[in-house]
Amino acid sequence: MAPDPRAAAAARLRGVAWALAAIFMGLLLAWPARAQVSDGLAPRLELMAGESLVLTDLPPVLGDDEVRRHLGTGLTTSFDFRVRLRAPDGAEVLGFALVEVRYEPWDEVYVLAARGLDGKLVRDLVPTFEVLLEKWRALRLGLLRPRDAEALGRRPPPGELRVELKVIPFSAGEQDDTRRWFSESLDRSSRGGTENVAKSSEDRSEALAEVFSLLMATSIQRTALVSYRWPVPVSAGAPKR
Amino acid sequence: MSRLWAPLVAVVLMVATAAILFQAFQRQVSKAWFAFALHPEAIELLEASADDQRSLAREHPEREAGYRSRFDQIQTLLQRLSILEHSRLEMQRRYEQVLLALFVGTIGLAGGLVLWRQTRDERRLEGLRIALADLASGRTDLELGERRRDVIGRIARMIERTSRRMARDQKRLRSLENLSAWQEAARRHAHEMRTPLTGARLELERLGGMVGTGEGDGADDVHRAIQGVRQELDRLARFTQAFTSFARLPRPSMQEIDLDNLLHEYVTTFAAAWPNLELRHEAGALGPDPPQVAVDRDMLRQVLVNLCDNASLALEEDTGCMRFGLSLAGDQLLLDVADDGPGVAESVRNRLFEPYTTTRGIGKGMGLGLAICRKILLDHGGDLELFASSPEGATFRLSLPVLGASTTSSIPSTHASNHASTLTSPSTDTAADGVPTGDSVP
Repeated sequence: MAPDPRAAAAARLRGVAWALAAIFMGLLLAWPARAQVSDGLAPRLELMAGESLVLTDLPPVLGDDEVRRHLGTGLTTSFDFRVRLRAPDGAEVLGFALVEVRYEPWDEVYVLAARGLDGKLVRDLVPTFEVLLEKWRALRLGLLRPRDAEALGRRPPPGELRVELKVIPFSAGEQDDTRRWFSESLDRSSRGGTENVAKSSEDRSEALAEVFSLLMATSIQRTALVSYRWPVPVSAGAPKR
Repeated sequence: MSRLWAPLVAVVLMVATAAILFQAFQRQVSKAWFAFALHPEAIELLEASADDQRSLAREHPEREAGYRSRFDQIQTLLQRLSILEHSRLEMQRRYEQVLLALFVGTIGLAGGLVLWRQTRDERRLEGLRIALADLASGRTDLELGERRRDVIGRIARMIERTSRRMARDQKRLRSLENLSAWQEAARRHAHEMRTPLTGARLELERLGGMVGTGEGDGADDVHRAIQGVRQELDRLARFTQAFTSFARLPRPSMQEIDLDNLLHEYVTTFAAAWPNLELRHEAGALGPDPPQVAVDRDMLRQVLVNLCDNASLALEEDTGCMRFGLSLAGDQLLLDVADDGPGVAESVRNRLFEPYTTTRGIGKGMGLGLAICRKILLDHGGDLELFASSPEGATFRLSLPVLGASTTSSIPSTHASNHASTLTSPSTDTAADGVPTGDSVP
């Protein structure tokens, strides 16, 4: 029996459609993979019995050229650590810790502040970059809220957890300040050119300028300077004394 | 809807092409603009300036606060610029998006406007086509409702005016045909009556001769009878003469006149003609340069006298006022003749201008006066109508074509057309296609 040519054509079409769909899905999956994946410099995750999931041995991200150059600007650089895991009851738990580093160019010191969801806060003034690196390496960040830590129990979750780090180049306050400053600069420049124009057209022009400056100012976003992602196994740590 | 596709596709292509070109161009512009705004040299100078402040503070510790303040200002500016530098790509993208949206919006709006206008004009042109088809099929009461002052609007108004003129001409034509039939009948009646009337009068004279002038033996009675019959025959002769007058209306001898002046003369001359009627005319209503009309002065005066006669008779023992008012309506000069009598009876309004229509008693009128008046006006290319009637009075409206308006009747009357050579005839000023030339289309 000869094969039906229409059925064959339809099968070919289906094949092409599947191939296109696969390429599309591949591209979609590859999209977030822009973040750097580093295996040799991964931090460590320790489940401290009765305490929390602690992130230790932070990788030397501060030594990254771009990050180090940025630290010199005096802006508050935020290091946003996240980890997602499943509690024994199946619920998803988010672990989070934030480290902020700001360089004071007048005094030539670094201000280091670290806090995790466990509520512990570390603040320190660091005189040099080398010391900062040491302090950074020695940080222990509690990623879970106490009740999440209790829910997790003493057994480390099986397999590896994915630890994500985003280096945000400036704080929300600095973002707001720059937006305001930028808007005011635009408004000043737009008002400066309408002195001899009739009142109504001046109003219209100002309204348009305000909309424009608003649109432009809101494009100042706290996008990550650089991102990292590590698969990290959780090890059981010794209880803290 | 299918007709919309082509312009729609054209507009979309136009907008897309313009948007692509604009995007390609302004991307280069915005890139340069942002690079210039965050020039590295300026930033380096600021950094150097900040360092200087710190150095100065070390050398002059007593002024450290001032240097520190300046240092902080510079540092803040540097930090802000650093944030802008970090957001540069996003800001550039946003800037391009805003400009592109504005550009596409403007072009799209313009394209939409063009499309909308094209669609609207096509619809209006289709309306004109239908109106012209209606006009060609003889419809005369066309109202297109176009009020715009563009070419299509002007053409629409021309079509409306043409249809109105056609309606007026058709009405005049019907009236003329009707009156002609009545005139022919009156002529025949007059002819048929005049022969036996003459015979009867001769026989009556012979009978009078036979009776002689003797008295007694009933001769007086015979003479009285003869006298009575003679009076009746005279009355019959007058009626026959009225028939003849109606049947053989003279041709108007046209003269170019100022109707305002003519009315003034008329009111002055006939001021005392009707004891119970006061004539009033306010001169100068049409301004210092009133339009001229072509009329036969005597015939128009006959019309006015007839209207005044009717008003005077309608007033009976009362006194009243006759007002003459002039106005201009397009290519027509309107003369309103208004009395304050009892008005025209409802029963005769519809056939008021038909011959032999009268509200007077038997033997008191033939009912030919208004028919003759209307015939005179029709022969002038105008018309006569009962404009208004109420218990407070009646208004007759005489319309006459204005000379030089070039929009007068296209249907010449049988009499008036014969005089076209002596004066500008109403028909000679009409545009070849019956469309007024005053509202020309560029």
